[in-house]
Amino acid sequence: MKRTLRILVVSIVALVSMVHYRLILASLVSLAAWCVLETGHRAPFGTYWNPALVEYWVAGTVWIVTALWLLRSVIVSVRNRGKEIVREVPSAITRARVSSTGIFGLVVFVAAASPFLTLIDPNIQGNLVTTRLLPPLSTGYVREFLDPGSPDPDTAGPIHRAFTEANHYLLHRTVLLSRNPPADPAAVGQPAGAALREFRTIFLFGTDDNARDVFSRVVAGTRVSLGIGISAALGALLLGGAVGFSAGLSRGVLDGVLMRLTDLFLAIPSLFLVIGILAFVGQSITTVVVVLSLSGWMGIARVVRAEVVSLREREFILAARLLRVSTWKIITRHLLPNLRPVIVTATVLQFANAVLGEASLGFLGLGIQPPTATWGNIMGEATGYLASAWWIGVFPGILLAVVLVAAHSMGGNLAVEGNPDAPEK
Amino acid sequence: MRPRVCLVLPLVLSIPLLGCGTKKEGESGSLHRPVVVIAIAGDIDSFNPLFAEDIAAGEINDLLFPALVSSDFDLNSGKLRYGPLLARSWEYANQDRDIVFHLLPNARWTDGTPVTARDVQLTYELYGDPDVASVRQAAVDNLRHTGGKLDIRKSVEAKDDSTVLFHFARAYPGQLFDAGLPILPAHILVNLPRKAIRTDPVNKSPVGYGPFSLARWTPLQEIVLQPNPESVVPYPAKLSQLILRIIPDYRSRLSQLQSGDVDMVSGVRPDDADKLAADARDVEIISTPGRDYDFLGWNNIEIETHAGSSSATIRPHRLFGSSIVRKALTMAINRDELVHAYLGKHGQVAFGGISPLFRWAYDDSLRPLPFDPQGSRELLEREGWKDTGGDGILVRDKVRFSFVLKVPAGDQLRTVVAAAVQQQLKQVKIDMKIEQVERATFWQEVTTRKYDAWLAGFSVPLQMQLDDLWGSDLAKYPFNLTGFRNARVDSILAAARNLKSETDGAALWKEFQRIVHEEQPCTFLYWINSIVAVNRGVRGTRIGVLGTMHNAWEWHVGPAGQADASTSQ
Amino acid sequence: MGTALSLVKFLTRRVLHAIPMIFGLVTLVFFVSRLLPGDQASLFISPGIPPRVAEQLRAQFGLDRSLWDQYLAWLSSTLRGELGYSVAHNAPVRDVLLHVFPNTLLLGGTALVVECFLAFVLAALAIRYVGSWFDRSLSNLTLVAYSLPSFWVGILLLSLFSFSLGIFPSSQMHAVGAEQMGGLTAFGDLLKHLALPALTVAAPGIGAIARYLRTSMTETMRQDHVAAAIGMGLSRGRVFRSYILPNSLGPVISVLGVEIGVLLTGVLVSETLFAWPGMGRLAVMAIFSRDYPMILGCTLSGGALVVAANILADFLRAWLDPRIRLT
Repeated sequence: MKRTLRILVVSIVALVSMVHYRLILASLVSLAAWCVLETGHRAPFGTYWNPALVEYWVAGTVWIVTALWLLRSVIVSVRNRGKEIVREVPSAITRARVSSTGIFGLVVFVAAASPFLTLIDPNIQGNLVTTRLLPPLSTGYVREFLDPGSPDPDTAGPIHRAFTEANHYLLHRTVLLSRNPPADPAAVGQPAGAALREFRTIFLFGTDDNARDVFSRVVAGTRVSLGIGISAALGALLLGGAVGFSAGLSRGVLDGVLMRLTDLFLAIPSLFLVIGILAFVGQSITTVVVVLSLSGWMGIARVVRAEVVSLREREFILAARLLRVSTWKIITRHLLPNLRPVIVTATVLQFANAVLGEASLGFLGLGIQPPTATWGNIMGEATGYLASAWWIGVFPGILLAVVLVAAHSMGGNLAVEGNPDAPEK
Repeated sequence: MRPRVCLVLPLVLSIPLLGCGTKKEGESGSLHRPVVVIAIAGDIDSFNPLFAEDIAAGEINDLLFPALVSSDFDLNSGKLRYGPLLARSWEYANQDRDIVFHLLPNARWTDGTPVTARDVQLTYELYGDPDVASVRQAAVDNLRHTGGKLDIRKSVEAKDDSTVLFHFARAYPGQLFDAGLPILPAHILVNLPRKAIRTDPVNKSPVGYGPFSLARWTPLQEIVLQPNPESVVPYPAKLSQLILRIIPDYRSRLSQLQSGDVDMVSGVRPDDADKLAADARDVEIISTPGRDYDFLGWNNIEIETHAGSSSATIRPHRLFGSSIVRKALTMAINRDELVHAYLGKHGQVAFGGISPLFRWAYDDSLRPLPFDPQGSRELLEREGWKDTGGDGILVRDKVRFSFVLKVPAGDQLRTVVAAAVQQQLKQVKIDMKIEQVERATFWQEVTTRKYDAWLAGFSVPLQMQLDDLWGSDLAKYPFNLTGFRNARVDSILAAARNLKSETDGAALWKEFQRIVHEEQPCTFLYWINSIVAVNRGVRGTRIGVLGTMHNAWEWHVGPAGQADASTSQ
Repeated sequence: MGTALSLVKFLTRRVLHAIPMIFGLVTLVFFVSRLLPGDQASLFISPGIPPRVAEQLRAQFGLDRSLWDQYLAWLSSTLRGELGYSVAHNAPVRDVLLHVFPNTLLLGGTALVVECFLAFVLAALAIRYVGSWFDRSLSNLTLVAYSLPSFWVGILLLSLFSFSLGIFPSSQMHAVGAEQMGGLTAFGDLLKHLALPALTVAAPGIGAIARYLRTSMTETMRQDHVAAAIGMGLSRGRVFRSYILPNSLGPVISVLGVEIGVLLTGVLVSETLFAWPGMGRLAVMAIFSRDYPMILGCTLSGGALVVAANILADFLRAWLDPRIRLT
């Protein structure tokens, strides 16, 4: 079971590496050249910085790390072949943790490496008349063009030239996609020049009403949705942690005020808060993250405060106080480390809520705006096609469910591990 | 414990079975009793024509409170035709500026009071009273003013119980249109304080005199109309019930149509219309062109308000200020492909701003600008827009050609079309972002000209009325969304307003279309048909340009699946 | 006598605590909701309607006054019990709410009953076969039910049971002509319409409560008196009824109090999805039509419901377990 899974992963990585070797290579060259150029002293730091390249650099790094890790595990298993290794039978809790962490790792990998995993640009539309609403596993054609505007023949040296060339490939590709073979005269906006390459492809998850590849959109959406979830959870942690911590440490008025405020926020229907604020400030990735943090910090604040209040009265803190250890030291050495399990659990659960929040917003059409794909807005789009094109919404729906379940199960397990008083499963 | 569980489980499991029993009854029920069920998306806002704004409410109120005249749209001439309703006849006087209506003598309100000329007079008084704040105030704008101000009692005179005299300020094409509003019961409304009419409970139990009366209204659920046996305007409805079910979800409306729970659904999407036509044998699809169009709005102007004073300077928009740029935008968009892919035979490319329904005014010698990305790029370059920044976006004087297109949320077609337009504009190196805005916000902001660009749609009234959309007085006409100002268009609009016969304006309107075509204040995308799906068992309908329910008293019911008696316009 | 007195004291205190809380909530919602552009009069923006109509309406309903004045006006109307006037519904908010409240109560109540009943049955079965494949897969299933978003569950149920299989109706409370049906048929019709929305609301709760119940039952089972009872040869059923069940209900009841909030969110989603004529659908419609008094009315009644449920839960818990003092 485990072996077949590993073989599957290895072959997928190998296959993608073969298809997209040029893209991967260009990303790595770009990253390496950038490091060299920026460390050289010829220009002030940041001269070569281009935010559009970051996704390729991240993907390249993740790709290399994954490939090396897979290679190592293959080597280890080959070396161990035939040897009997006695292993402890893992407990149910360990199994659950391993599987939820595994799922998480896989999804994070997909998110980070998404520029390589998508066959085509997630926003590229094929011929609207022939290519829209194709069911999963339909075939189509991809053609890749490179803008003729050649990188300026700079005299800045071979490294700089390699950098510009790689970037040109990364940023100035045009990909066309169609249902019919490339001779299709109906293809829109045919760029000048011959195609760099053309190949047949399979629309694994079908296409949507804009003739876009649903698989590419789901993969690209994974990155946005997870990113929003993680950032919003961290934002909520910062806010909730600060409120809970100060409320827990200070008895009396401040505590009362902060906790009433928390209750107040808890009582507002969060959907309402989110829609109100978004209508006012406009929708972008940043505002969605801020809004989701703002509507999700209350749980963390409560948990942190409760924990701080109970820790404060514990013997070891009292002892430290009697020994006149400074307050700062008590907080950093004793309180914070003991708070960790609670905080991690609450943050993981908050992550699940934030992912869900983004999905709900997208579902209402009020979240991240098109054409950027997220799980939420793909699903929102899909509600119009429940009967005619089920494939649009099903896959992000399944992914969302899997991630939510994994997060909750992880949160639950962490809670059990972190709390010695909790009952065993 | 367990035995008890076993007892309860079968009970739970039997719920679906119970369900099946009732289902069968519902299926056979609706069409064998003379009952027609129409699915509508939202509850209606008022049973008082003074305040009712949404389409379904308007159609229902027309059945409860008939107007003086009935109207019909003649597709051959492209004009409204009027016939008798509450008024059995009418004649013009005073160089066509006055109309004398002779009412049916024996019409009665459902509470037994006769319908008289006094009702007509008070009705128009209420429409015009600012304290009532009726949505149909515009109807009294063209009545004669006496002594510099409007006194409706003098402009709409009740000569005797069955004679009403309308004095208009001038003879114009829409006189009968303006005199054709629903008539209200004066004896009930006259005693209410004007400001309180909107909130009075009387609006929930309407007293009418039309072919139907309200049997029951369950808010958020359904409206049930029954025949009014006393009605003589025109006669009691043939159906035993007309039910409007409120079903907000589009997919549910369709699925209930297919299961036979509902007999009529409006606003069917083109894809589904074709599928229904192929799959559902007992459902007829009626596709009516010419009432609605979608367009990409470009804000032609930028308004700069000066701090400290109320004056404002208007200058051309930094991106869309030139008609050449707007032409280039239109040429970059493949409207043929959009129509072909998303509307099929239920739409056509739009241009010129006048509906093809108005055959006498529509200029069919004009052709929409062709899809021509290369030509578009050349036009843009001629206007000084060049890709000098190297990021694939056009730049002129350090201004990037980059803007946000606002789209009202919740419309599937517009969402999809916006994304397609975005890709096509990218081909000519224009960066367009899309933002969906919730509907109420959208109209609030777009009528104050706060957006650079937007994708929206308009419905066309059957009486040619274009001042609201193209008049240069920006304060008076908030629906001149693009801020289009053209002196010639203004004089065309003024001239058309004072014509006696609508068709005399044909030459004017053709000139208007050429100007709009030349200036391209917005990019007209497509005329989209109104598609209604109706069970073939419903007979006698005349679904078309006028809507669905306008002749509901003629409807009757026959077995489904046979040759249908309904005629589409 | 003493307990009755302490009960009265408890209730008074909790209600007194809740009032400023709800007041603060409504105030906050009032001001947050005004962040949205537009007001009720902007419903009347349309090419056929002269712009002056919107102005007249603003004057008529005081929307042209300052925000603070409007707040005071709404407050005084609320103290009179009217909750303001809804332009969109042409009726006082109180009347509209009273009209739909029974429907929401029916949906929420059914969901709560289904939730408790199913959770209870599942937990009992899990305890009966502790550690079996059934117990393990149940643990996973409840986790899934608990994690899935309501709208997702709703859409799934809708497309499966309504659009594809056609077993259940997709919207509304009654079939056409329900008023002419006999008692049992009408009841069946109602149940049929209730099934999908109620299940949508109940799904996350079933997961949460079943998990809580199972944990708390396991804990109780380990206690000495239960072991003693089993040792004395009492039947399984008897032990379950007399020992395990009463002792494990406490924590579950306090969870139920919290669960009401989740339930209300579920009601909002489910009512919108299945066109159930209730408060949740009203609230969503109100947000989109800028019907501020209605938004406030829904928030107020929703908030009051949550608070009441929490007080009730605390009270029930204390009543079941005399060791807990009512404070």
